[in-house]
Amino acid sequence: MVRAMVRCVWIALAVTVAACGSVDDNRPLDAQYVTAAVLAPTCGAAECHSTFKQAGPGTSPYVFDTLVGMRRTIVEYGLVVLDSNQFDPAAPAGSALITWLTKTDPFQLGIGRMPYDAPMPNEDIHFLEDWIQGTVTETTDGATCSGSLACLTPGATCKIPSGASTGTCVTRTYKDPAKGAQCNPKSFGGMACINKTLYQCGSDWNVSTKLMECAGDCAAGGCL
Amino acid sequence: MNRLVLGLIVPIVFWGVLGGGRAALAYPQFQLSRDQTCTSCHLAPQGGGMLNENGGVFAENFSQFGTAPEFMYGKVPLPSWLALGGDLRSATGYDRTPQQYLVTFPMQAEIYANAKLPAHLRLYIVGGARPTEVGNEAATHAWSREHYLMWSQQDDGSEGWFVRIGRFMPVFGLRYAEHPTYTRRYGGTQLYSETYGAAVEYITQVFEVHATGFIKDPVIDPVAHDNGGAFYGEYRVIPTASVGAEAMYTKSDIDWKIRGGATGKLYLKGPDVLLELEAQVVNQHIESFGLTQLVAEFTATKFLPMGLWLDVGLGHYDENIRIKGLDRDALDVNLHWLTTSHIELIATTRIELINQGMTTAGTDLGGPTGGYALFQAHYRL
Repeated sequence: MVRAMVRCVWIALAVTVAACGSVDDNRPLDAQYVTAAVLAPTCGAAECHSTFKQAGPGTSPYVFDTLVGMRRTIVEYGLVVLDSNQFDPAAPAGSALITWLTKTDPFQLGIGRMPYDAPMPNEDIHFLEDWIQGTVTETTDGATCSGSLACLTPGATCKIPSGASTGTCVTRTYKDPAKGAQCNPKSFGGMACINKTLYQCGSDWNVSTKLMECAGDCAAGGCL
Repeated sequence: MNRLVLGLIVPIVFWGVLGGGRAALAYPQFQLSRDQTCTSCHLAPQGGGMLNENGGVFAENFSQFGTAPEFMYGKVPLPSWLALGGDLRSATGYDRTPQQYLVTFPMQAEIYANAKLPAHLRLYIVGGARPTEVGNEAATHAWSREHYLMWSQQDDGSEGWFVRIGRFMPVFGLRYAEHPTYTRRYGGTQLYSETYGAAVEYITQVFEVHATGFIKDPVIDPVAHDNGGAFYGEYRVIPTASVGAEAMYTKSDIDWKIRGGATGKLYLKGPDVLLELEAQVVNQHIESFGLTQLVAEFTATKFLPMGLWLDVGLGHYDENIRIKGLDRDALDVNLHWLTTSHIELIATTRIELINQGMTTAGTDLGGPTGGYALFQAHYRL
């Protein structure tokens, strides 16, 4: 109660008519919003991952205060990987971007949790995970599965409800994962993978024309 | 490594992840409590940086042990048209990030030159060290953070019209020296966001107005990526109280923002306490999406004997007021000791709470909140 009052007093002091934060999170899942509203103010401070300083692990320049810098940092330094051999949208919490924000010295480089000065709010971390994941749709083939009974449909996984011993085979489709920072049009001959599908990379750093489905893994702009 | 038991003493030398790199703005704590305007003590219309003669006298009288306040204690003779100065700062202390470190880092090493020219003109240049840019170290050890040409209505006065063109910080808000304060970091004047622009300013004992137009620095890889304009006006209702209004428009490649806010200062003579408040509402537009932010800082300053003063500050920043859990608060307690007119020692502490501290260990994805306790040494040349 007291906390809520303190917060509302601040808001009243600023003569705002807005509520004290109650609306569902409707923030756009794209690189521009991620950069301007989340990464630039939190990670792109002057002494940190700014264009001015470009601090990063080792000699890697990380930049989060411009769209160009953010895209390059995310893609070139593998903070979010969309290749099939490490398809981060399937498990966003395991991406390097989220790992830096949630773990202490996650890569044994002597570098602590980011940001150094204060943690990123949970809501922003979840928002970044949502951005990495994009829009997820699930389709099921109706098959029953369990821990010992695997799904037969290629790419399907077993979704077992909490407390149940069996579940249903589902196939997840990821639409626009890491939108706006999916690929670098100047890397790998302008080719990029989204999971096991090979695409042309567009100038907006999103994949454009679908080129082929890879029989095996898809990584580094080519089918393996 | 376990963040809870790290407890390491890790000497780190880095240029200011936290409180580092403090390019000096003003101590607004002295305005109203000791004098009416920043220009009473500083050469620059926005305050900060080089002191004028009155500022030197004040530093001598306010500090515990005095000493000659002039540049290099007056031992270096200067021509009457030239004023020189400088600031050296460093910090050492405890930092929880949440891993715990003992840190030492330089904050500022700059020299100032102010040359008086004919026709009421002055050339002001600040040069010194800067954090190097990764991959471009050789070219980025030093820079000129500020350099501008200024015309003032009075030749050596502290009031009237001022017109500046060059590189400087847009004049906006209360202008704390402590750049981690939310009204600076998130309030449009973050560290090193000086840029090229032009300002028209009018200062009297009763009121002052500052209007600045600015562009993104085309010369270096800058901190500020915006073009825009800023306005700040302050009216001193009585000699011990003022109210102010502020507005800023900025446009970058990916967003545009309008900031509007108010400031207030009240000096209580009896207890020798100054109360300051600045609050901004920020309307940010990213493509077609709009959001509203809130930035505020409240500071109470108690002046003590022997060149001491104590600041207790509470900052608030809400990244998007329509969404729960995106707000943060910082409690700052800083004890300043102006030992001589040239040497200042500061104990600066902060603890930061995300979402009013509602998320706690175990549910905080990023771990426990940050905090620090640093000792700063500041030497004014």
